[in-house]
Amino acid sequence: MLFFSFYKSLVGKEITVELKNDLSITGLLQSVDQFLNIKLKDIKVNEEDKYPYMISVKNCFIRGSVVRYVHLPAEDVDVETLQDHSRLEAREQKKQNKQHQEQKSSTATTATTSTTV
Amino acid sequence: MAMLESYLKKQVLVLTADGRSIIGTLRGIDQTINVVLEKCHERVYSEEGIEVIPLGVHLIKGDDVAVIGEVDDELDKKLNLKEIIAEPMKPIVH
Repeated sequence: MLFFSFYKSLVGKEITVELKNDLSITGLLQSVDQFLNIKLKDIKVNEEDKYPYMISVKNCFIRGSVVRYVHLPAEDVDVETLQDHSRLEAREQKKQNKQHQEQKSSTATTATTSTTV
Repeated sequence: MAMLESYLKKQVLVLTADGRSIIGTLRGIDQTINVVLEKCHERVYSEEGIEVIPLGVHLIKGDDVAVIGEVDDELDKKLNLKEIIAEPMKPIVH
């Protein structure tokens, strides 16, 4: 969910999306959803002579699952904050997993005690 | 799904995971990006220019969709398909 919010903060910026078929598309980020599907405006395919498949396309939708890299403008990314938030999210996830396991083991012991009774 | 609603009833270009490009009118979509295209055709790229193969109505599974592009009709009309020479598009490799 962190990266979804992160991408949302980049709406309107110029990004380059490299796909898993080696196509690179540059355009203005129009919107993004929870699957990290991306919508771009005023696109240009890099090396258009070699990859002319989208010459007549200005706006496009890219399925999140086919994205290999997203190149972002360095000046719009606060790496430190992103790192902090990533650590925070990882820590919270760890805590949740631990709680989940504790719950599981406590229900398991009650089950065994009830059988022995 | 809301993301694709603005493309409905318009001419779109779908690049598929196996490297094909299919153009048609977008008639339907759902949350898994399954796509229904009407009056569609495939553009086959080769050394002899682009060959157009009519297809009719097609449903493309969401898993097989890579990119959906909104076709600018003016730009598309100006294209001379015989003169565009390119290798077939590479498939998506995960």
